[in-house]
Amino acid sequence: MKYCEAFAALLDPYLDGELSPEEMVRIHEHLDHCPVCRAYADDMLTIRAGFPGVEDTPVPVGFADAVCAAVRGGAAPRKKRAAPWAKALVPLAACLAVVILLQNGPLSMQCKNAALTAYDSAAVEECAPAEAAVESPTETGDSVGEAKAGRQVPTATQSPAASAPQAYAALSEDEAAPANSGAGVTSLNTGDAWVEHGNIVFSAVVFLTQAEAGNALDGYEGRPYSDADRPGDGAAGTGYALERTDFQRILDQLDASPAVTERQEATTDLCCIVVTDASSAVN
Amino acid sequence: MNDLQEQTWVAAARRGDESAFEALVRRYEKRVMALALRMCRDPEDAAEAAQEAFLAAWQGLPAFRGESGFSTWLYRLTSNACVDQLRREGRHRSAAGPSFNDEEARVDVPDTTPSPQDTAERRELRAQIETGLQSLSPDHRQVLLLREMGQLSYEEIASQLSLDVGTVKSRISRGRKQLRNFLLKTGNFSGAAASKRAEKEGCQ
Repeated sequence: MKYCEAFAALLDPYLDGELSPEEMVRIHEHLDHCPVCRAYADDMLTIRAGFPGVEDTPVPVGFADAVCAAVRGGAAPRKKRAAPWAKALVPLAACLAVVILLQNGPLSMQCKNAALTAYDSAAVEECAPAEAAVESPTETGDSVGEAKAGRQVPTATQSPAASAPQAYAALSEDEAAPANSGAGVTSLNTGDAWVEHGNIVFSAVVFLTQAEAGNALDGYEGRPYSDADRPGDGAAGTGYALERTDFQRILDQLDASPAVTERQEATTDLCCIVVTDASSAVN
Repeated sequence: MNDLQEQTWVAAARRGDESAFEALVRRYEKRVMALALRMCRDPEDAAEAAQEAFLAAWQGLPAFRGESGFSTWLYRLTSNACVDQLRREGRHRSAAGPSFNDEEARVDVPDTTPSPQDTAERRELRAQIETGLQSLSPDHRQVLLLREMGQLSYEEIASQLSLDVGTVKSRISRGRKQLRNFLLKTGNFSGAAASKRAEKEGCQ
């Protein structure tokens, strides 16, 4: 039985919940392409189910009922959330970004990331202080949701630079996806679209048909996506800019293995999921 | 488990059958919670992450193609939900600390009656695992039991046995592989379908 050398060391810790989020992304990516490791994971989880100890796991009273109530109530899982305190940073970054871009040419990575927040007017909109900060997971079941309702948690210790990019795909907290009310954000000259090799080069891009994407991207803000290197294609679809971990997590949820194009010449750490209208994905 | 019962539920749930999904929730809630407790430590965080995992599964099921087993897919969603939960609450994965204290937990008594077939299959698997465990060396068996039955982290196992974490990791890994090989050779454990074919193909 062969096992993948590079990932052998990660597989068991993965199954034991011992990996860091970054390592988990790597292992998930690998599992997408490796039937051997997938089979190992499948078998180990099956074996685990046969160990008596698992059946003794304490589960909160009414847990299954709460989940099913949420499902029947039409609940969807929470989407990406920016750490509450990070939202306060966004308008400042956006202001800086506009100034920097108008004045300078080449940008450092951090400035680019900050600049991109200016595209995301939804992120700026969220900075309406009182409303955005309070999280009210009304869609979750009673027994698990109530304990968390209304909790504001500015306890994150991540550095601002690391967290600000989260705002790109950030959404308003309530499930009714709001239209942008234009909180005075200034769009850059390049307009409200992703132009690959024009105004940006994503570090990874994947193309999904609407059917493949389903509603995995609901609530995320997409922008028209096109590729300057392929002028004949016109607008290839709607592009959703995401951090690598979220990008991977969404692809995980689909449990499909669409071909991901990695770009060495990327100008950002962000990745992009492009939802096309075509019946077959365009690469 | 890749049994027929579960495949039926998954197929039905994919089509939007909420009762079938409920059956899956009840079958998997303990396993999902076990992982969530491992990763989140705080029982409230774990419960929320577990719920999020199931909701993500519900939403993602229509696109689930079965490239991996359902349990592996659900495991993955649970891992992701735990990472999200910890980040949302501003916590990091806990440093070594005391295990989750069972006495503080509210224990649910399951009221679902497993079908006779379901019970027989599980009993069968459990018996084979017990035999397989006996075939391992005491060192390998011990760490595997602490991990799977005791739900201890690598750090906790290392501390209890006065080993370093690296040794714990390698013993768990070898123990698992040996157990799996034993089951594949001797029992009715067919393993993931890909494994037999993939055995020859290896990995790029």
